[in-house]
Amino acid sequence: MPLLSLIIFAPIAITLVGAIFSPPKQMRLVALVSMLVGLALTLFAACTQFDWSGNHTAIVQVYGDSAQSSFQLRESIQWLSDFKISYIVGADNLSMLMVILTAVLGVFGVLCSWKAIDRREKEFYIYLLLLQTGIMGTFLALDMFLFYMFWELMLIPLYFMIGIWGSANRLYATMKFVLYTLVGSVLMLIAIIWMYFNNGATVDGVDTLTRTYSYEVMLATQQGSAAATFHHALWPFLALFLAFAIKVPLFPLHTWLPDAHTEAPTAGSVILAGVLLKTGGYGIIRFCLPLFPEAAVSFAPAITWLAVIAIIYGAWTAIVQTDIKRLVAYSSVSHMGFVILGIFSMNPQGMAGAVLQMINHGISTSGLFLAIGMLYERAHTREMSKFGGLAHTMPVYAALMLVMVLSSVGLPGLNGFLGEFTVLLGSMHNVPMLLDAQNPVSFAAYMNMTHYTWLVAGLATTGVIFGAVYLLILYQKTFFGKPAGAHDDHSHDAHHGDSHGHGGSYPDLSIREWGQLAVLGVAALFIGLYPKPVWKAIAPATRDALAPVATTLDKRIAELPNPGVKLASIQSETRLAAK
Amino acid sequence: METAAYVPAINLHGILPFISLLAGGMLCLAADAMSGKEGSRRILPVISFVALAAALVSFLLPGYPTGSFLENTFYSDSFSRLGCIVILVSAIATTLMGPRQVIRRNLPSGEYYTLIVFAALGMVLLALANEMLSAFVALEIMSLSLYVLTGIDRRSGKSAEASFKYFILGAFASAFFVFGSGFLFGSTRTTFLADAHNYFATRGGNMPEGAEMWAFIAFGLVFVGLCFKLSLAPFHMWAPDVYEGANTPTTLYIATGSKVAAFAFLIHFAHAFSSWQIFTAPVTFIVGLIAVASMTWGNIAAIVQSNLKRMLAYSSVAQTGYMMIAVMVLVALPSLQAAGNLNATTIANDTTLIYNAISLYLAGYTIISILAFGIAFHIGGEGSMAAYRGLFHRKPFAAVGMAIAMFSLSGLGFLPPTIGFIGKFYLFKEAVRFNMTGIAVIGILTSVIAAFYYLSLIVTMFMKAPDEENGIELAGRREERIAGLGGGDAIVRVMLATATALIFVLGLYPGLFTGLAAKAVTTKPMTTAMVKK
Repeated sequence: MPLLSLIIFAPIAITLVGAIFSPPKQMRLVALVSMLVGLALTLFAACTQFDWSGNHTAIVQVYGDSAQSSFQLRESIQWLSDFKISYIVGADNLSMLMVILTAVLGVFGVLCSWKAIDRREKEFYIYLLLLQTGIMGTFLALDMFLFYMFWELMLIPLYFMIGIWGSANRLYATMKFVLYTLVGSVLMLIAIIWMYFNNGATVDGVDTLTRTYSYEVMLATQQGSAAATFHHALWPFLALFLAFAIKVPLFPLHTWLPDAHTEAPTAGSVILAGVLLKTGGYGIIRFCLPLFPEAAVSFAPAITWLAVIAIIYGAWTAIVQTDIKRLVAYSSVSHMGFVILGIFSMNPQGMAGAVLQMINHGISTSGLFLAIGMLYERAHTREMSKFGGLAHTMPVYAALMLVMVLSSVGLPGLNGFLGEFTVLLGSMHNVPMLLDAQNPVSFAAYMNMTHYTWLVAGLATTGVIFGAVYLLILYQKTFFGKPAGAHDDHSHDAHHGDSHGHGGSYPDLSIREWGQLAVLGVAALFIGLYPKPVWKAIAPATRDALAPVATTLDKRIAELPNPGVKLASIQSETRLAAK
Repeated sequence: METAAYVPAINLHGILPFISLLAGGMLCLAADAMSGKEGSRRILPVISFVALAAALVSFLLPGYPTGSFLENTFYSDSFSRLGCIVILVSAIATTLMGPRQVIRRNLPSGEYYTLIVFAALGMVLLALANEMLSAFVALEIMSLSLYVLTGIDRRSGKSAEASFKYFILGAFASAFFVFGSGFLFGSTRTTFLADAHNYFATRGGNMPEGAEMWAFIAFGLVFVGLCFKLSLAPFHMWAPDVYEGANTPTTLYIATGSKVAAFAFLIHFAHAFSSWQIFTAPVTFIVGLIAVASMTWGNIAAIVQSNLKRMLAYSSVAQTGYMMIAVMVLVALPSLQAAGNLNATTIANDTTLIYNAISLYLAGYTIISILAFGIAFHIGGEGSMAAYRGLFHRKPFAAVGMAIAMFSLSGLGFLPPTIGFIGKFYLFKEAVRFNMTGIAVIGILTSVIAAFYYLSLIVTMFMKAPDEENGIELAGRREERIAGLGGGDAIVRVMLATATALIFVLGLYPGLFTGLAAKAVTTKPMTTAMVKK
């Protein structure tokens, strides 16, 4: 059974067929059923068909090129055979985790739109499901060209969702979102074409090239030889990294995110924060590190600094926001900075923490956006000053929101703590930076800062503290204090004349609403208290991502002109990685 | 040159399309003279359609000659043949839109259909021409017909202005062309491109005093003339005005048919020079420069346009710029071969791939243009943006069709691969293959600029509310309603649906097309004999 293809395409197929027959008002049911089918398929695949041990290997053939592959549930069809492009999907632990996250949040994407979307419903849900298809495909594609197709496919549904159902400044936001993302992705296309032509190894000065778009074949070729052609390639690495860094988003490239988040409808924000940003992190782990280990190690210190800046800058900017959604958007910049920090620590702790942080961010930030969406449906404003004392009038909401906020803050016992803590732990042993400090001509050595990974970890830790500041400010201003007139000085009372008479008092959550938050809250609590199964699922992903980098790091260590005292510890770190 | 026999070797199948087009045009004239206004409105589209379709079929038939025919004045290979097919498809699309356009603006149908067919004749001749004077005659048949078609709406000031501009500037371009032909004759003593190719191959290393410069001037002048027809920057100034002023079917015709014809001839012409060793380096540079200028300027200028047809004019400047990337690669092939980067066994294969890329791109561009201009025509309003505000609410199918056209023109793989995306992908891929990554990067970054205005149109159509409840009364609607065409006509709808289907089918299975192109006939390899000095 082509299980992964079903996961990718069955929901959108059901929705498209349903759209023909259902009346617009019932479209949400069709969408819900589609998402649930997707979720059921995903859980079926994950629980019964998928081997989480990470020991699966098989020899695969793509257009006559064979490779050792650790991907499961593989499907392979020759598609555009003129170009040697094929339709290959497959999953490993990393992609399976992301797929589960996507499938769960997809259901919430429909549920949170249940009442919020009251015009052009058919279109909306078609776009939502199309977006889901694009994201699933991105996580599962094993052909670089196919990956690019799905990557681009994610763009347009969200473009329409923000542009049609967004709030006041939506047209600006949606255009900015598309153009920012496009710049990265088109360069990625050129990089992919370059990789097609240059995949191979240099033996005795002669290039033996295997032209392929298949990720598995590329990986096998590049790892199989110390003289692989990608090793000295900086530009393709940078092109790919740019595409992913824009999506993450990393510090100087983040400016599209607050606009897109603020203007998007709730479902758009939830999917955007919950899953779309993860495609960036996923891409870096999947493609940048294993295929271009040399370039990745070389750029790692610089990227780490950017991540640190993102963590602190995102947190500081979030503190001064008055728009709740904007605040959470900047908090995303900060939290996703941890992901990058963890990945480029290039040790098992950092990498595992980064993967967990991606999942955690998916849970807590989409929880926050869901909660804000519920509030927005009642108050039609996102200004923090318009709220206050909600804890009195909406106790259930206040309790569930608290879980989300604390999870995002990183309170021990909830999921956020584990991810951030592990990343910080990893960043103290940031291997490329330690190596860099050993290099006599580096800035760090000149400044005699052989321990500057501690500086990095220390600075990043302040991000956690500031995180507590802005999130608690958010919670305090909206839930405590005197109830404020949320809309008495506003003219759009007509939008919500049905429910409430006096300012600041809104009906508490319905079952549909608190159900969503409760599920996420339970997930947060579960990961926080009993993370073992998640760690076990992440471990093989960490190992696979770090194996090629570890080889490069070992080589760099061997080349060190003056092996210092720290060398032993670096080596132990990398050996851990290579294990 | 063969001078022994004066019995012209005529391949009847080779000239069958010419005969059919010529006869069709003449028949149109005669039928118009013999029937009244209403009669000719009915019968002329049929005659011109049959003539164009007959020509199309004769190109499609497997027995169509390859290589030189008609005393070496024409040369047919898979690429130029495909060009002819594309030209005739665009001519047929123009004809299919004709009846409604004639009613809409009360145009004289006799001239209208006759000129479409004659222009097609000129284009086909130009695409196949392998001799400068034949090419010039073909160019003039094409151009004069298009000048008149542009200005055929005598009641419209814009149409007259467009026609006049097109004519004046076009006449200049023709003068450049014919002047360049003279220089070619002066330096190589022949107007036959095959002979020029041989001349450069054998004597290119030791040409007489001054002849080298003449040959360069010859190439430059003819190239400028063709650049004008292709509306490449900086020779594109006429395009926005003409696109806007001409009636929409004619705009489509100018944007696709005349460009494809000029492009096909440019390839033949460049091939004549390709055996000349000192030629490749500077010309690669110049072609690259023009490609970059067109891609950049076309896309930037398109952003600020407030009229759809003007926007599409600038966009077509950019689209032609992308095609020039392929020309650049093609021109550079001999020098790559000389430098030892390519070996002789693969070069024929490489050339085929590049020709495939260009063919696919040209066909894709034409199909997408048929969709875009076809919908613009269907909507009416001569491209004014007001007609597109909130179009999705008034005419959802038209809006979705236009969105598909815009997405695939932008060529960025937003949708499951459309032919526009595959075409661009193929071009960039060939550029990267020959280590011209730089121009591919410029190309793809400019296509992000392009995405801005393509997506802006989608914003206008999908994300803004219509201006008024009953929309705007578009020019020509009253006449249409009187003629019983108020809701548009079925033929145009079928045409648009077919174009949409082709965009996706060829996008998902470009093999259908490229396989055809590769297998049909071998193309002229850009380089033949690399002769020692």
